[in-house]
Amino acid sequence: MVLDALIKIKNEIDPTLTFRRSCREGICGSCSMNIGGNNTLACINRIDPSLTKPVKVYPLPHMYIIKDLVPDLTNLYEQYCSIEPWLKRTDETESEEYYQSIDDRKKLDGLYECILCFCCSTSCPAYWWHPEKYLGPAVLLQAYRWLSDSRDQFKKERLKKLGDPFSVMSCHTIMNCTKTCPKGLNPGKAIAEIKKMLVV
Amino acid sequence: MASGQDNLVVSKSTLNISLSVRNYSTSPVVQASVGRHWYIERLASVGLLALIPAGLVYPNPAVDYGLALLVPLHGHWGLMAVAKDYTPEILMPAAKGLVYIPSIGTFAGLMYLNVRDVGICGAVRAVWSL
Repeated sequence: MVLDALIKIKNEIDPTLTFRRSCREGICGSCSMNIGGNNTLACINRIDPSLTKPVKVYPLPHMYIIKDLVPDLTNLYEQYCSIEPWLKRTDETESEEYYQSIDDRKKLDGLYECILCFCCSTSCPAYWWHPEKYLGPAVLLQAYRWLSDSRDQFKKERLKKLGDPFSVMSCHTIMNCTKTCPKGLNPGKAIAEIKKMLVV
Repeated sequence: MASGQDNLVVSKSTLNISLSVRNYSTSPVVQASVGRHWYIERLASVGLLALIPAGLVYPNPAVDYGLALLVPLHGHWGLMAVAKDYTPEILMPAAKGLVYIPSIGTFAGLMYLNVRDVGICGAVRAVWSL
């Protein structure tokens, strides 16, 4: 995997080379970067066995860079926080768990698996142009995950917060998000579903 | 050790500030209109998908006037989206104003074709028969 090559470079050639990595098995989302023109996770991206061509590795596109392959994700985390990614109830009880039918649980499949590597958001031209106003595919996939949760009781309020002209509607269905997602998720579809929910 | 702890406390408090919940709405919240506008845009696109082949097969004034309305509208919304995406905030009013020129021009031209001339379908047929 490309991550192994990066670790080898750091160990043997240039110890100053800086990148994020943790789980080395595609579940933590730390090592997202642009490899050979595609946003992906370095730990699950194979090195091309034909050694005739060099592999170009860049940090996630259109991000402020802290050092080498480490982008500043502050804005993305703040946007993630702004959609309130937690269960909201009007009847909060400390002791009981909230049950959900098997069908309702199924609605969260394909949404909860997101590891917030932000490969999708940083591949999205709409997000490049308006990162301060448009929430971007990763955050909107999670917004949709909480809108779809049968246990959540604040759907209306959540939708109202997304109802300005930019937060969701800046999406022009370019679909880079879905194409690039290293977990095989479909943020483009989630955004379309939110748009449908916004039709009142 | 003490300084290390201090650093930890400082970084934790700045983290809390940066992660405090923010509302990202930059313009007044007009939920219903945003969703409905998107829906009407889709309707116009689907309408065009039906009208264009209909006009080619059975040219008639109803399709002519439908196209005269939907073609400029569809183009107008598309160009408006381009203007909103690519124009810096200061130039936004000017850019939005500029978009109206081709839209109104197209609408006027197509209406002229319908009212004074052979109609849009007739014109396409005439070009084809050259």
